Amino acid sequence: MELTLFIIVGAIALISAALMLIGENAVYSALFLILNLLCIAFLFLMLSAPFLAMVQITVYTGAIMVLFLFVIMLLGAERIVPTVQSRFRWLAPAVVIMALVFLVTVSVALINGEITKTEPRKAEPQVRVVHALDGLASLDMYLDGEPVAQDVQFSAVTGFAPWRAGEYELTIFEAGADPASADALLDQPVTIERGKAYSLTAIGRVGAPGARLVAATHTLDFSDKKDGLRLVVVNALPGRASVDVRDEVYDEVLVSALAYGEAHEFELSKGERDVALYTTGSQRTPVSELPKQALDANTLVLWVFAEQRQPDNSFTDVVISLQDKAPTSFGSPTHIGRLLFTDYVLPFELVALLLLVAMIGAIVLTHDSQAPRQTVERRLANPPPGLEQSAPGETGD
Amino acid sequence: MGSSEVAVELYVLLSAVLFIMGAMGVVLRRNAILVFMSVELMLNAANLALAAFARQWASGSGHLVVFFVMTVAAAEVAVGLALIVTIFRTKKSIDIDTVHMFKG
Amino acid sequence: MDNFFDLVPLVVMIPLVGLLINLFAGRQLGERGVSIVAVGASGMSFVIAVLLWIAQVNTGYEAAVIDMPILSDWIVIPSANVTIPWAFRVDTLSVTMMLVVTGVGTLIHIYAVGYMHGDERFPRFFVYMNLFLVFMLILVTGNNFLMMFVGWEGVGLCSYLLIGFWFDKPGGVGWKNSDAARKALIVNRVGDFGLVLGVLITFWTFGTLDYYREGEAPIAHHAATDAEAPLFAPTLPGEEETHAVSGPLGVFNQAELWLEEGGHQVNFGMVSLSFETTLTVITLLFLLGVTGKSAQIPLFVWLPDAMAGPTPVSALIHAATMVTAGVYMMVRANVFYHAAEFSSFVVAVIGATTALVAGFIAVGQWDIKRVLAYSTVSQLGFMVAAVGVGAYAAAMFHLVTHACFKALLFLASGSVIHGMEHGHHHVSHGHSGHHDDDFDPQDMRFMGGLKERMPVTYWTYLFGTLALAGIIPFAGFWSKDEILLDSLKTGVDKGLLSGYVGFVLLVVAAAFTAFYMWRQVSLVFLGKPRHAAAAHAEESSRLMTWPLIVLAVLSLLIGFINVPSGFPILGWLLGEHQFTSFLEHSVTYAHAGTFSFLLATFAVLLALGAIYLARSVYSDRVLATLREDPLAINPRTQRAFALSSAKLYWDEFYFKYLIYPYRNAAYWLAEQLDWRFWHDYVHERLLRDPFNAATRALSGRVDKQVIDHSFDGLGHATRRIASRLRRIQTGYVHIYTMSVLFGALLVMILILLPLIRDWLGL
Repeated sequence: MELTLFIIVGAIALISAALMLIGENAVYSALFLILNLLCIAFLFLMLSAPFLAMVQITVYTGAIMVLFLFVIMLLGAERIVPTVQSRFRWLAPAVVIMALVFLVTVSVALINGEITKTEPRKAEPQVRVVHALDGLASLDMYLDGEPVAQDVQFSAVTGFAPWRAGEYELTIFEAGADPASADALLDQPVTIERGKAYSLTAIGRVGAPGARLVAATHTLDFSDKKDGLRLVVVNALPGRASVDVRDEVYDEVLVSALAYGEAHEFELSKGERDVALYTTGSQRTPVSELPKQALDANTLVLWVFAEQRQPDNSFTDVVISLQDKAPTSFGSPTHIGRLLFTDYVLPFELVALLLLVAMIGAIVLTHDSQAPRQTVERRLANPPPGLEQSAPGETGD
Repeated sequence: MGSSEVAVELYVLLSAVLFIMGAMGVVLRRNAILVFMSVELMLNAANLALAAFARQWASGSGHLVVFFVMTVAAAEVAVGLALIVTIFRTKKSIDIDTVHMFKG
Repeated sequence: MDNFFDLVPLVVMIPLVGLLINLFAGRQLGERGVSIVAVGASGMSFVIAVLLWIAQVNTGYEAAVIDMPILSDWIVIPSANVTIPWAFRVDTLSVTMMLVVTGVGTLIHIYAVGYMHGDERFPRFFVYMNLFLVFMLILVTGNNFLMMFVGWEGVGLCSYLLIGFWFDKPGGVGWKNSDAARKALIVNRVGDFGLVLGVLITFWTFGTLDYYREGEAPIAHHAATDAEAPLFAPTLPGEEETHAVSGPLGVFNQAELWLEEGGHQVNFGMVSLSFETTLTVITLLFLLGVTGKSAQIPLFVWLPDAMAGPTPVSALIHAATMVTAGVYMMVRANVFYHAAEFSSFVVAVIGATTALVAGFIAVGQWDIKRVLAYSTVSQLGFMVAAVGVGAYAAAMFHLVTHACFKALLFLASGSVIHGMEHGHHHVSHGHSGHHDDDFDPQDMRFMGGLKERMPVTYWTYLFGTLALAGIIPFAGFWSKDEILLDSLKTGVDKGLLSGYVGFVLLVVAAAFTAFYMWRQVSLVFLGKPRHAAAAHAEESSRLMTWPLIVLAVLSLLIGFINVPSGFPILGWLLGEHQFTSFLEHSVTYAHAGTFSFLLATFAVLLALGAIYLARSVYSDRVLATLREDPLAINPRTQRAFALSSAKLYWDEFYFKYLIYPYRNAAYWLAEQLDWRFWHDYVHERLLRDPFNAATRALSGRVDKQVIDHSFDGLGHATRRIASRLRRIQTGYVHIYTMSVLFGALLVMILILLPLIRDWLGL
């Protein structure tokens, strides 16, 4: 399906490029170029670079090509056919030969280069915060004093945010507390690696001994499975030392003997499932149920089984269930913006400066410098005061 | 991000073909504007290759470079078109063969 | 009144400032400004000298040592514990010299303003004059031999500059002037060599050059033996603490102590001399310096030639002050001379002989200034002889009186020359076309009868002559009489040969003095004019005559400052030997002269007789038709006069036996050693020729053929290649893009080379 799309778009791109090149009329050429650029924008999309695709359309096909068309119209250069033969007849065959050599070289490189076999660099780690800590309305979470999320409500899950790999001290505070002065409610060392996403989950009950922080790990590798999904289950029930997760429809144990405070990741094929949670060993009454879960391919699913103490000291089950697309921040405006303002600040500034210079340069170049010079010449041509009678222009005869 | 994606080699091959087409345009066409457009085509081909590789290695840097190339291209177009306009003013032609004052 | 002592640096500083002003702003100031600055500087120095004199009188003639405010430590060698300060000494001796130098100097400055009027280098002249004052005052006020030496050399320099002041006079005169300047400088070099050696030996012997340390009072043999007299007297009455003298004593007191102890040995490396011998050596070396600076035999030959300088210079430097520096130095070192009897004998003999020889030569001279120059040499001989016989006070006394009347005589002669030049100028313009090259305004043969034309000059000149001849009551009588008496007494009382020899020679010299002076007066002023210039001569301006009058009065009166004891009436009236008493405070062995009526009468009668003789020889009748000197015609005196006129062939003797041999030796050395051996052989044959051959080979073969050709070839090749290569630059965009593309492709292939090789299976 995707390959077909690629072939179609690529063919359009090639054809439009060829038409642009051989076109006699510059306006048509420009229009074909626009088509070509649009195709490339589409390819950018397919390459999971939506931001670039957007910029391609706006900047290239929008701004730049309009400028081209404008200049063509301005100069009246739509149909300019060379009146004289080219002085360099040998150019065309030479270029064709070079093109062939180039293509052959590239093909050889592609075939022998084994690009796909090289280990891709793992994706940057992502983190999000899950609040399942009973007795705390909202919390702030910090990694080494740097805020990950603030004012997270109970049973809420934040979106994934990219983070730098490394070892951190994870701390949570009551929302609004100053991390510099206040004591952390909980703290826990965590290791954040590339190619993983982390659901940093606070579980248990505030003040109780079971309260802790769990870094549930999601693997960000989706290349191996076509239709699969990854599921992470977290046992956040302080009262259940060990639980089993069962699929009621297919009657199979998804996870067995999941201890309190543990997270388990496993793969699953897509489909609709009824999920129930039992105390290990028992199959009578489910502790908690998740009916009719539609699981899509290529998603990350998180189930956190927690409980909340009511004012009458009874407990209600809370199941935090989240299914989201794998974090596609790669190529997204957020991602690029973050990079622009961190690692690529200097090039970014330089390019900005270059644009400014180009703007001024364009103004200076196109500025009509003829007019003032003419006035100077006219002034010079003025005869000295004594020769008023012979006006300029009359001297010619 | 689908697992049934198109191999990166195909993207690179496409980009190579587009690139060499642009190059041929630059060398063979004599209309300055068309030469210029061919240059744009070459830049885009390069961008395509960069984006493909960026996906292959899951690196944001490739996207950034593409972004910068686009910016530079915009600047280049501004100046280049200004030059063309100025040349056209003096030469009344945009045939680049008419401009060869810089010979040794 | 002590504070006046602190003014002593100003005596030197004021002329220094004056000369600096004239040096840098002389052109802008104009003649008037320059003369005001120069005369003012000199006059202010005189005023300060007078203040110092008053201070001396008021403090009971205590000597004071004043450090220069800046530069107080001049030469300091800490490792050798040597400190030579830049210190001034104010005592009666130096004050006397200061008064003479600045007083006579000021008068001569005033005179020079008139004399040098219109000279194109007017400012320069006064710069030199003030510079002379600076050095002369350093000489007389310094508290150590080194400062004296600085002054000594400085005045020598000024003398050189001023003798050759008119070095550019036309007609070979300028050449002669500069020759005279060089002669003066070179002859003085011989003397200065002796002085330097003397100073160095003094330093080696005593470890210091200070005359006396600060707070040290001079002690004499007798004072020390009498004991009880404290060695160090407190210097300043107002000061409670007595100055402890740090380090060694000054040279004179140290010498006295060693003489008292006896048996002191001075170690000169391998040789060890007794202290007495060392003193003899030092004093003889000093004497060599004196013979140079004070123009004594054998080095007197430069002084007559030095008259080439402007007349004020002759008066100031070569009569009144600089040439007496030698006498001052010996008087300053009287402790040494008193102890060194042999040296004293030599000094006396040389002085007396010089007095006689110069007096003899003076008779045979025609040049008005030359006569005075030999007279100066003769009178300096008197002073030196006085030192030789131990009459230090008499020597200083004669120095002072001589400064007055000889300055007067020189200035008056300058006035005569001025008048003659004026007359000559008048004559040349009056009779157009009439011009005689023979005319010399200084030649007495062209003069005569100027008494009427220049009365002031005549009368002042007459005063000077009588003073010089030693006629009572003029200044010269008192001083000369004292010298004669002292030398006779030395002979009679102490039985020293030098006294008798000195007395006899000096008496003859005194007779000669009276004779040649009256000869000069007769030739210049008496009789009738023998030349049109003399007939049209005119009296000089007031600027020139006033100093003459002042000096004439001084010549008459200055002698009364030292009336000898036992002189009737005057001694009672003016006090006896005032000047000697004054000097005694600083000159240890100064002693007052007594009066001998017999000797005085004899001397005056001798002088009068010589004058009568001169008048009879140069009578008006003879003068009227003067072509040759009467003495030259007279067969009895013919030979003697010829000898006198030829200056005893003294210069010729030097030329024949010293200068020509020296020059020949120098020529020989230059020809053989320098030219033949060093230049021709070593430089040319050994160094130049091989070097030449090497360079020729290098330049011809290596440089021209190999290096030049290779670089030429490189240049040609570059040009040829470049002219081919420039065709690539077609200017067409297509070609450029094509090449860029081609290059890019090449680079790409280069990068992908391993892959391509694998693919091809290589």
